[in-house]
Amino acid sequence: MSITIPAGGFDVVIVGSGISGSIIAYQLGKAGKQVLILEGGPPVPKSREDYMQTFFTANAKTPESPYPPTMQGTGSASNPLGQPDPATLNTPRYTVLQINAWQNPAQCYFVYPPQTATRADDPEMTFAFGSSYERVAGGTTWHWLGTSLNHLPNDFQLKTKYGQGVDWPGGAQFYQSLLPYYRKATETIGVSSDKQPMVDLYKTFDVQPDGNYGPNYDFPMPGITPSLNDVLYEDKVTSLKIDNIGLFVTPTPQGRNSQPGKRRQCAGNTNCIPICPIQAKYDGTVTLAEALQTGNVQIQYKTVANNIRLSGDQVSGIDYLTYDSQTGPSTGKGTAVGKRYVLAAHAIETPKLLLMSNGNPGYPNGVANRSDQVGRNLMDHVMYLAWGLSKDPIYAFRGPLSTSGIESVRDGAFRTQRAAYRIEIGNEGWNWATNDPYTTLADFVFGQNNTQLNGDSVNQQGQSLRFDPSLPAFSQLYGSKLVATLNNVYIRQLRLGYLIEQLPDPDNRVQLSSQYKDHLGLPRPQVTYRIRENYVRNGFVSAKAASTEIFQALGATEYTQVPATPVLSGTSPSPTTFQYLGDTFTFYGAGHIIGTYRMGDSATTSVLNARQQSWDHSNLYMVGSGVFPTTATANPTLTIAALALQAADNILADLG
Amino acid sequence: MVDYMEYFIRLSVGLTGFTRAAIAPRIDPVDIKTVYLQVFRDKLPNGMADQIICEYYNLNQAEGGQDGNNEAIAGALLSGTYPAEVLALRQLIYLWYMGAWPTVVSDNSPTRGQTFSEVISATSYTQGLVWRVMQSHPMGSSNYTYGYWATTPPPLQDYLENPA
Ligand SMILES: Cc1cc2nc3c(=O)[nH]c(=O)nc-3n(C[C@H](O)[C@H](O)[C@H](O)COP(=O)(O)OP(=O)(O)OC[C@H]3O[C@@H](n4cnc5c(N)ncnc54)[C@H](O)[C@@H]3O)c2cc1C
Ligand code: SF4
Repeated sequence: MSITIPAGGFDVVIVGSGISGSIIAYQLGKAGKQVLILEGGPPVPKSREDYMQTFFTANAKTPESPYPPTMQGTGSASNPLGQPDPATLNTPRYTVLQINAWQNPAQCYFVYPPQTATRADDPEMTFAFGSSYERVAGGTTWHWLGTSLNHLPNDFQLKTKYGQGVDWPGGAQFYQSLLPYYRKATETIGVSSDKQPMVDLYKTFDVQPDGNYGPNYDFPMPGITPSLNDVLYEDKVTSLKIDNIGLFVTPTPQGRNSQPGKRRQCAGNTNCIPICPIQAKYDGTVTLAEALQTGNVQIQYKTVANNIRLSGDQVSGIDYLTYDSQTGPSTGKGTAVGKRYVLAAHAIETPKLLLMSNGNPGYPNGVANRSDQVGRNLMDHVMYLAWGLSKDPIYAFRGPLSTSGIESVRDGAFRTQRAAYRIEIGNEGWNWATNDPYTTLADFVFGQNNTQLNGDSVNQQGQSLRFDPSLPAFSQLYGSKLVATLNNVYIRQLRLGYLIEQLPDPDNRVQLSSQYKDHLGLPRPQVTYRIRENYVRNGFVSAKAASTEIFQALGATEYTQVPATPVLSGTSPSPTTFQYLGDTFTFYGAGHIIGTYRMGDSATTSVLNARQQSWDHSNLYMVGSGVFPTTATANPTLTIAALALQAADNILADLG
Repeated sequence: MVDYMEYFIRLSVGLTGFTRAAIAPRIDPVDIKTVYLQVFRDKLPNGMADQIICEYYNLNQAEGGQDGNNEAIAGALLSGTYPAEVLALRQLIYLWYMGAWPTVVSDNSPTRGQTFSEVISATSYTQGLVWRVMQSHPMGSSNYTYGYWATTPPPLQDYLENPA
C-alpha cells in the first residue's frame, strides 16, 4: 500500500501497532490528527485461519507457534527442533523454544553473556529471560491470555511503604490519576467481569468501591462463568492463610466476550494462548482496525524502524528499512517525519531502537538516554508453577485457560521481606506444566515416567506418585486400560501459577550485541538477566510452601517436579533454574516484559516523566510496559492500555 | 486377499480402546483412518505395516474371524517377541491419540527416556483421540457453547463412540 503524506504532514509517527501503539493511533485519529504507524511485521492476515493452520501443524504449540516468522524447520542433531538462525530473518523475535538454546546465537535471537557464576545459589548467576513477544501487526496480544486486573495503590509506592524498589512518579497518587483511564481501558479491551467480586477484593486492600473504577461504573460485560476447577478451590482455600492473609478465590476480569457483541462470545476453545480461533478474546488488531477506520491513520507494514534522528534536542524523523519476504533482502529505506513521535515497539525492541540511534551529536549513548537508564531494569513476573491431581474429577482442558485467581495475597506487611504474587488458577491441566496431553500419553504408551505418574517417584511430602498402585512401574498400556487411566489422570489435573513481582535491577538490561545481527544488519539484543534480591527469591519460597498447603486443603496430590540440579558450565547450561536456601527452583516467564525505559520523578534516574514523555526530547513519547518503574502485581496490559490512553491525552494537549 | 483396511480398523480398535464407531464411523467424511494406514505404511520399513495387519488377520481367523475380540488380539500382538513390531504397534496407538507420529528415545534415566512427535496434518491434530479421552475438545477447536466448562461433561462412554 502506498502512504499519502497529508497536506500539513503527519502530526504523529508511531512505531509499532500492538495494543499500545494502536490505542494512541485510534485516540489521535479520532481527534482528527494525522497519524502514520511504522509496523515491522506483516499485516493482519485476511483470515485468522492462516495462523490457525500454522498452529495446528506446529509440533511445539508454544505461544509464538501460529505467527511468522516460522520457528519450525528441519531438525538436525545440533538443532533438533529445526529453529531458524535469527541472522537469516528480517524480524526475528525471542521465542519460548529459544530458552533452552540460550547460549547458542545460531538458534537464539537474544545474545547472552556466558555464565560466570560457579554456584547455583550465587545471586550473580545469570539466566535466560523467560518471556517472549511477537513482531506482527497487532502485536503480542495475539497470544495473550486476557487477564485484565488493576494494579493496587500500594504497588505504586513500594519504596515509601515497604522500602523496596522504587515508587512510581507521585507514588500512591499515581493510582488516583490512572483511575479514569483504567475505566476507559476496560472499555477499549471489552473486559468481562462482575463488579461485586472486584468490590469485595479491593476492600481488602482498603480501596473503596468507587476507588476501583470510579462512581457508577460497571464492566462492559458480565463476568465469565467460572470453571468446575475454580469451584473446588473456592470451596477449600478459605481455610488457609498466607502470612496472616486469608485466601479466597476471585473470578478474573478477562478480555474475552462473555456475550456476543462486536466480537463473538467465548466458546471455550481452551486456546487463548497461543491463539483464539474465533476472536472472542481481545487482541491489538481490534483497536488497530478502529484506528484505521477513522480515516486519519495510515500504516506501513514490513517497515522496521532502525534509527531516530535528532535536530538539536528534538526528534526530527525516524529512519526505517523495508522488506518483502522474511529472508529476502531489504527493499528500501526512508524517513518518517511528524510533529510528535511515539515508540510502542515493546520493552525489548524499543530500548534497542533507542540504543541503535547513537549517531546524533550530544547523544552518543543513544536517543533519550542521558540518564543511562535505557535498556536497564528489565523485569518480568517470574513464575513459580505447581501442579497436582485432585481426588475427584474437575474436568481440566475445558474453558478459557484461566477463569479465576487468588488475589487477596497481592499486598501486605510481608512486602518488607518478600515479593508479592497473585496466584493464577489454571484450567488447562498440565498443558503448561508438563506439556500435556502429550507427556502423560507417551508415558503410558511407551512406559516412560516424565510425569511421575508411571514410575517410582515420590513427592516432597513423601507420597508415592504412581497413579495406579496396582500397575508395575513403567507400565505400557493399551485398549480399555489405557482409556481408563488417561481419562482418570486428565480430568483431575490441577495447575497453579504464581506471578511473583521482580524488583528493578539496573544490571538486568538490554544492550546491543556487538557481534550478532539480524538479516537487515541490525544489532540483536544482548540480554543480561539475574534474580539477585532475596526479596524476590523469598517469593519463591513462599509460593512453594503455599502450593503444598493449597493442594493439601484440596485433598489433592502434589506432582510439582523438583528440578534437576542446575548445570552451570558446558555447552548447555541450565537456563532458568537456581538454588536458594537449600531448595532448587525453576522459574517460568509470565510474558510480561517490563521496565526498560521507565518513568520517574527525575531526569537522572529515569527515561520518561510521568507524562510518558522523554526527559531529553519533549516531542518523543514511549508507551507499553517498558515505562513501568516496578512490575507491580497485576498482569500489565490493562495498565498498558490505561497509560496509553493517558499518553494520547498528553499528546493531544501538546498538539493543541 | 486380506482386506487391509478392515483389519487395520480392527487392530486400531483393539489398541486404542475406542469403538469402531469412533475409529471408522459409518459416515466418515474426514476419513482419518485412510491417512493413518498410509502413515503407518510409510513410517515403517520393509512392509512391516502390512505384515502386522496380516498377523492380526491370522490371529483373528484362528478365532473364527468375528469382529469382536479386538483388544485380546491386539494384546497378543503387543506381547510378541519382535521389539520393532511391538514399538510400531505402540507408535500406532500414539498416532491415533495425538494425530502425530512419535519418535521414542529410550534410555536408562529415571524417566526411561523421552518422546518427540511430528504432527501429520491440521486434521489429524483435531481428530486426536486424546481430546475425547479427556471428555473435551481439541485445544483450539471447540464445538461447545459458552459456559459449558461450568458443567460436567457427558459420560466417557459417549466419547469412546462417536458423539458427533
Ligand atoms: C504468553 C503470554 C501471555 C500473556 N498474557 C497476558 C495477560 O493475561 N494479561 C496481560 O495483562 N498481559 C499478558 N501478556 C502481556 C501482553 O501480551 C503484552 O503486555 C502486550 O501485548 C504488550 O503490548 P504492546 O503494544 O506494548 O507491545 P506489542 O504488542 O509487542 O507490540 C509491539 C509492536 O511493535 C512492532 N515492532 C517491534 N519492533 C519494531 C520496529 N523496530 N519497527 C517497527 N515496528 C516494530 C511489533 O511488530 C509489534 O506490532 C502476555 C504475554 C505473553 C507472551
Ligand atoms: S477460551 Fe477459546 S473462545 Fe474463549 S477466548 Fe479462549 S480461545 Fe477464545
